[in-house]
Order: sequence, then C-alpha cells, then structure tokens
Amino acid sequence: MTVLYRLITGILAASVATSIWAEELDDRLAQAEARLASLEAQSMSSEKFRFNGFITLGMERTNTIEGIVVDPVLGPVPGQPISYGESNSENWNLRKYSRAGFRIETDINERTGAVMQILASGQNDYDAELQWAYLSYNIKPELVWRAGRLVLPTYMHSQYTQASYAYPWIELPAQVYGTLPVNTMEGMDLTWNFSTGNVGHAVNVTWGTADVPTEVGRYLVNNQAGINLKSFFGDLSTRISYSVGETNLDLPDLTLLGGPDLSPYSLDSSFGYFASVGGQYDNGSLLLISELVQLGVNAPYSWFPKQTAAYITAGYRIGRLMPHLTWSAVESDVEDKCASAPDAAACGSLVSQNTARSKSWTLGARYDLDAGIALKAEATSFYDFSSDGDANGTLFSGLPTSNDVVVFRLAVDAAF
Amino acid sequence: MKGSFIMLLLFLPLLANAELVVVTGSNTEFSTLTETEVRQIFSGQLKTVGGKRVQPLDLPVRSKDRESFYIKLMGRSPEQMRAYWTRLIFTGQGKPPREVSNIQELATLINSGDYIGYLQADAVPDNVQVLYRMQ
Repeated sequence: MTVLYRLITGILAASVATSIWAEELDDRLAQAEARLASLEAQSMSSEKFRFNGFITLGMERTNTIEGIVVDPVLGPVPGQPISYGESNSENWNLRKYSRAGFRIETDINERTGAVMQILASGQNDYDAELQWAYLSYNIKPELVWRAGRLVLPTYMHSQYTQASYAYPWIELPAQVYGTLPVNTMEGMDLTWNFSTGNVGHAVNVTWGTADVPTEVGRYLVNNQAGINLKSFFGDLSTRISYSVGETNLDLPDLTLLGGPDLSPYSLDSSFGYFASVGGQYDNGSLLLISELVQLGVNAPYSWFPKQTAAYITAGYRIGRLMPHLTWSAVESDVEDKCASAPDAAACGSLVSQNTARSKSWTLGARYDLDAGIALKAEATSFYDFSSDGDANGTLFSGLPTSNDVVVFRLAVDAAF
Repeated sequence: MKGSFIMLLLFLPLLANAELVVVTGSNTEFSTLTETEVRQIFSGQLKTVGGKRVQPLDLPVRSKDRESFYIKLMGRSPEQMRAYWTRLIFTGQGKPPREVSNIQELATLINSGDYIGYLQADAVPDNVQVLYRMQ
C-alpha cells in the first residue's frame, strides 16, 4: 500500500514538474519564435535584389500557301510558295517565339531603384540584349521619374510583349502589333498615379530617342514625345495614348546596282505620330480586350500610307482552361503622290511594300498547368489581303492567293 | 445529441471557410478601408491612403486563406493573380505584395512599417487593428 502511495505521489510530482517545465519551454519557444520572426522581417526588408524571369518555347507552322511574289527582274510571279515570316508548311519553326528574359531590380535607397532586364530570343540567335536599364526615383509615393533605356509604351501590352505568360495568345495580334515594331528608347518618363472616386488612373509622359534597325535601314526617331493615360474601374481598364516624333530614314541610291534611286524618298525629321485606344474587361471568368491604333508618317510623295489596325478578343475561363477568339485587321489609306515623284515606279514600289491590308480570325486556348506555367495553342486564319494587287508583304513573303491561309502555333510559357 | 451532431456537420463548411479581415499596425492613422481601396491596394493600383504610403502583404503561396482572399475580393485564382503581377513586374509599374512566412511575421511587419495584411478574424493578434472585414 505504501509502495503504491509512494508510486502515485511520485508520478503526480513528476507530472506537475513536467507541466511546469513544459510551460517554461512553451514560453521560451514563443520568445524564440518572435525573435526569429522579427529577424526574418529585418532580413527580408533589406532584401538586396529582386529577380524575375520568363521563358517561352513556341513553335509555328503554316498550311500550304501559294501566292504572288514580286521578283526584282521578272516582276510579279504567281503560284509561288508563301511563308509567314520565317514559318512555312515544311517544318515547325521553333525559333520565332522561343525566348528567355531575366530582370533584376534593386533599391539603391528608400526612393531610388535600378532595373536591368536582359532578353535572349530565338529570332535573334539568343544573343543577349539589354532591353531595359533604368533608374527610378520616387519624387512622391505616387509620382515616379524613370531615366535610361525604356521600352516605348506604344501599345496596351507593349511593356511586356516578351513575357507571353502575361497575355492569352502566343502571338500578339499581328496586324496591330506589327504596325510599329515594339522597341526601346533612350530617354525618360514620369508616371503619376491618382484616383478620382472609385476610378484609379496612371498618367505617363515619355520623351526620348528611338533607334530601330529595319530591313531598309536605320529608322531613327528623335524627340519622341508621348503621353498615355490608363484608368481602372473595378474589372474594367482603359488606355489611351498619343505620341509624336521626328522620323529619319536614309534610303539608298541603287542606280549603280541597276536599281532605282530611292534617296529622294528618305525621311528627314519627318513628322510621325502613333495613336492608340484600348480597353480590357476581366471579371475573372470573362476576358475582353480590344485595341485600335493608327500610325502616320509625313513621307515625301506620301509613300508611307497611313495605317489603321484593330483587334478584339473574347475569352472565357473554365477552371484552368481559357478558350479565346480574336478578330484582327489592318487597313492602309493609300493617297500617294507618286505621279509627281522623280521616279514614279520606285515611289510606287515603296508604297506597295508599305501597304498593309489583311484580316484574321484566331481561335486559341490557354491552359494554366500550375501557378507560373501555361500551355497555349492557337490557329490563325488570314483573309482579305489586297484590294488592288499591292505586294502587301508586311506579314507574308508575298501576296497569298490560296483560299485557306492558316498559321498554327503551340507554346509553353513560364514566369517566375 | 444526434441533432447537434448534424448541426455541427452543417456548419463545418462555414468553420472551414473562416471570415478574413484586413489588418494594419495599431499606430496607423486611418482606421477603415473601403472594399474598393482594399482591391486597389492588393492589385498595386493604390499606393497611398490619406497621404500615407501603404504596402500590401501576402500569406504564403500555398495558403488556403490567400486563395480565398483573392477569390472573394477579386474573383481571381492564384494563377490569374500571378499573370496579373507578371504584367506589372515587367511593365516596371509595380511589385507583387511581399510574402510573409507566418502570422507572427505579418504582425511584426505591420507594426514596424506601412504594411497592410489579411488573416482569419479569429487569429487577429492583440497589437493590430482591423481595417476591413470581408463580406
């Protein structure tokens, strides 16, 4: 009995001691956790660099397309195979959309930050290119000044054209995004965020110089000045932008090579403008996006026709899958004065080369495999290329005459 | 007894889907936010409230509360929010909310800076103030 009594008191005493000890341990653990949390908070608030990146593997091929190719010697030759950019019906083109980008951001001090973004694209043999390099300074929390190498804010999606994870398509609507190549400028911008009631706005003004290498030569835009306003109201956002610049393009004299003298058609500080309006509605299930753009350049003898392009996209999310449909079109307003030009034929060939006209339907789907990775597939059917037999070589290698002109694309996109 | 068990079963889904509240530090000058302001702050469109800078905080990426917060507030899944932030990051016009690893870190941060976070109503620590209750 005594033994049992002793045993019981012993167990009780031990359990009391254990519980006191356990409470102490709990307290100590809680203190240690709090210390750790504050340490973590400190180390995170002084995180030196932020890294972000994206990778796309895309592929494209076309059905068999025939059409008219303008031969420099023979003139227009019908029944020729036509390619879409570098993509044809023979093989999958795995280079056109494949690319990788890497972005580093750092806070130099409380108000100043620096950003560098490197892009390597298959189209450019994966040569790394510094796409962005700028300093940003917060004059006020809602007012930011940036200076350096910036991407021109031409279109609604132009700031992240390469990060294709950010949008539903594989190829951005070609007629619109092909109007003016998306490019970088050296310059500065000022962004002011403000709100009027429930509507948030960001107004952005830019100034700088854009230097665009093209097939015909170096296209230089000086004093590129622009303004754009983005507004957000619940699920709806709108964007309006206008920019002007002094455009310069030296065209060669080809008489020694048996060609025409194109030099009278060079652009010398010619006025150019680019205007766009766009809107996006996204309530989480339904996605609607539309943009309308216009490009005009006061070229000698009006050899550069005014181009107007637009698209509208509708998509609907069913869980991780989003099917989407896009209609897109580009039209050129040809009002050339080639009759009074020194060489009417040469002037006409420039007009013809820069006349864009086509319409297309794109049916596609995006599947979000997991956070940060998406699979995409789409098919684009082009039609209505030319009204007056212009070469219209802006998207294709010639003027397609086949009944069905279809481009297929597949891609996997990641952002991290 | 059997009845209360059935009642418990009926209410289980509600218990699992606890109310979420938006919180800030106890010394913050403003004391309420509207739903629009919360949406704008957590989508990076609103950077100041009453002239003061505000920065949103996110719970860990696999957190169920984080998922239901964005679904309730914006009707968007974590994947959709990620695509949204990809646009803002590469536009250079915003960075996603800073991610905390636990509620303690959230409480520490909102009391040390201009941060705003969200958590379950029944997990609100003493030293934080509630700015908005999710409907």
